[in-house]
Amino acid sequence: METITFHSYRGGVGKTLLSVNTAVKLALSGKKVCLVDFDLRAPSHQSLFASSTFSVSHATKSFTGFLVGDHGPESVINSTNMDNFHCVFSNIEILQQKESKIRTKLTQHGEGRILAKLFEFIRYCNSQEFDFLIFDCMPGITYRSLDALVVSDKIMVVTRPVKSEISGLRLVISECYSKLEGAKLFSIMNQVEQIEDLVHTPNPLDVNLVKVNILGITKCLEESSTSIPLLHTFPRIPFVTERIYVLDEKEHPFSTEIDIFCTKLLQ
Amino acid sequence: MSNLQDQELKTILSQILTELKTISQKLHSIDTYLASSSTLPTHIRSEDSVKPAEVQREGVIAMPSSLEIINLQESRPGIFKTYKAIQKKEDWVKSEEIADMTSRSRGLESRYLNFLAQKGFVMKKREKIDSDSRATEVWYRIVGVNS
Repeated sequence: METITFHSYRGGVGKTLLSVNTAVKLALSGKKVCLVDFDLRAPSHQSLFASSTFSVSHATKSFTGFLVGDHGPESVINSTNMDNFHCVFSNIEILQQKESKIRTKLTQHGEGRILAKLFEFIRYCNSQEFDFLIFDCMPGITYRSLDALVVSDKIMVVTRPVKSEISGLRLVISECYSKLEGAKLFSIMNQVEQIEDLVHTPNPLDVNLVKVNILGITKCLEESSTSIPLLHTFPRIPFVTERIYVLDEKEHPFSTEIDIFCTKLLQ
Repeated sequence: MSNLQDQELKTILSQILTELKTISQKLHSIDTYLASSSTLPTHIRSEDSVKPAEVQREGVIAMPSSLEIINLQESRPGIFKTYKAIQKKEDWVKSEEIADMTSRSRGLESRYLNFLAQKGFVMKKREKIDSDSRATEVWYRIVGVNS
């Protein structure tokens, strides 16, 4: 089994959209996949799956409950109408409750305990013969994002060609990625402007800035002491919303990009 | 040397011997206390009561955070791979098994595992190979939330 984590320095770069569509696409290609919503601060998978044609047999037990030892790993894995695709949701409502028992427990259990639970979950998934376990991780450097990075075999570093991303990327490389021995790192550049597709003539300043930012990120990755090859560049496709395109709209340009990305991932 | 000096020397040596015996007794009582201490997992204590002469375990367990693991890697480059390999196993393993998983030498894995055990990040035990022999086998196990 391969554990893959989608991580980024900042939020809003498209981790959830990429991880969900990648996971479903891998399942469509015959792999047994388990997708985990590990953004405990802002979980979104449940609503994303609800807006799709996907049919999830909703389990009432959340991953957060497993992490604090309230449930076993088997009771948090939801089956779906695809035999080989399973998903795990985190529960925002529980976390939002100020006096929540789980919230208190998360604090009491200590940082090491959550990591131990993650390893336990991976061992369970391994015993269930999953081919892929995919974590959609929270952005930045937090204990939880580090947990996901530590347990992963492959890390997909998602970036967007914006200026703030360049310095942030430098930080996560030096403070995190460079220290994760054994994990294979790949970068994904998302939402890259395609000038030729624009209906209006863009301001040359904007065009130049996009080019500078792309170059900045590429340079940052190339100069890094850790190898983070660019696996795929996703073009900016207008009107791509939070949906499972690979399932609902197989001919959509985004689905095509995911197809290409998954082929590279499986190589 | 006079008989008087001999006598004095014997008295001093006898005092040293008595002191050493007292120290040994105290160390033994500390060992006994640590073995029954709550810092060791319950299942280890129960196993010990079954085979007290054959099994000897070391260390005080702890669950390291991801940050501690990353920092450990800085002081011992390569140890991260060992830690991840042992996390794939739920039962007691020997360093040979970890070496097979990491494709590194048994000696290196043994060194890393001992360091992890010393930090309390994995559990370690020694078992006699058989009752007649003095040779022991060293086993390691992850520190789980149920430990």
